[in-house]
Amino acid sequence: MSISIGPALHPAHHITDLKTRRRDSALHELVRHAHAAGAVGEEALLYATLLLRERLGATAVGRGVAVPNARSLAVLGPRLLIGRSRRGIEWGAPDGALVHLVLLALSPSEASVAAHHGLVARAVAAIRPARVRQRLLESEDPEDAGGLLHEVLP
Amino acid sequence: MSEWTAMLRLHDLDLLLEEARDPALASRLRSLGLEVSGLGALERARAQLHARLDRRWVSTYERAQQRYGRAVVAVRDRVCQGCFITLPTSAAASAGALGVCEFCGRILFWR
Repeated sequence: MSISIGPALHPAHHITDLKTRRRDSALHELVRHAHAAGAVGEEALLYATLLLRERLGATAVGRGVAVPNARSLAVLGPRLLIGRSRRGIEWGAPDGALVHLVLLALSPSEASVAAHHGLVARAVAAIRPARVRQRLLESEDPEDAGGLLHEVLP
Repeated sequence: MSEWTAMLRLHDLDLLLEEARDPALASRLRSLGLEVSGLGALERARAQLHARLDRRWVSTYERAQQRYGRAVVAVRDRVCQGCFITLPTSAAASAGALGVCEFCGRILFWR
């Protein structure tokens, strides 16, 4: 089953520049942003769950991209948040590259594994083309970035 | 960490373990480029959370998990999202603390 993530691409879910160079702080910043945008209830719970996901293995997929993800009681509905880092974040990527684009894929705890994996798979597929990554990195306007991702999401 | 916090974390961790323990699901994640290698670390984290909980709550959690697959469910508009029965007004007093749906036995998470 595929999750509809149209509303998840609201410009409020786009951080144009993550302030930190550290993975855990970047996750914290994204969680705080998601909470402020009304996408998440229990901020601390989601942050803890995302850290546990990283303990399972790095969510950096190479080419400067990370797709941290979680199913959590803290998440109010399926969401995809975009964070960008100009300086890059050390994320333990398989190719050793710093992460410049973070796509945080969130599903509520009621979502099935298949639905959540579908959301993650769509996020990974959407940013596979180099031109999409480049445009997301260059975009200054959250609406453009959200619009672009919406266009390319399979 | 409060018992309430430990319970919510245990629930989220079990959702993650559901993906990590199943070879087919783990393989799907790897095919997406996501690493799945730290199952042992998660099992240890689970044991630590488990140890923080009172035995009574552990048995309530495990009983509900065994029966329904998921032991903790959200409450929306006073309706248990596990059995969809409206909870009595008195049940709202347990918001922010551990409570159980008197109809289905799941642990309630008030939003």
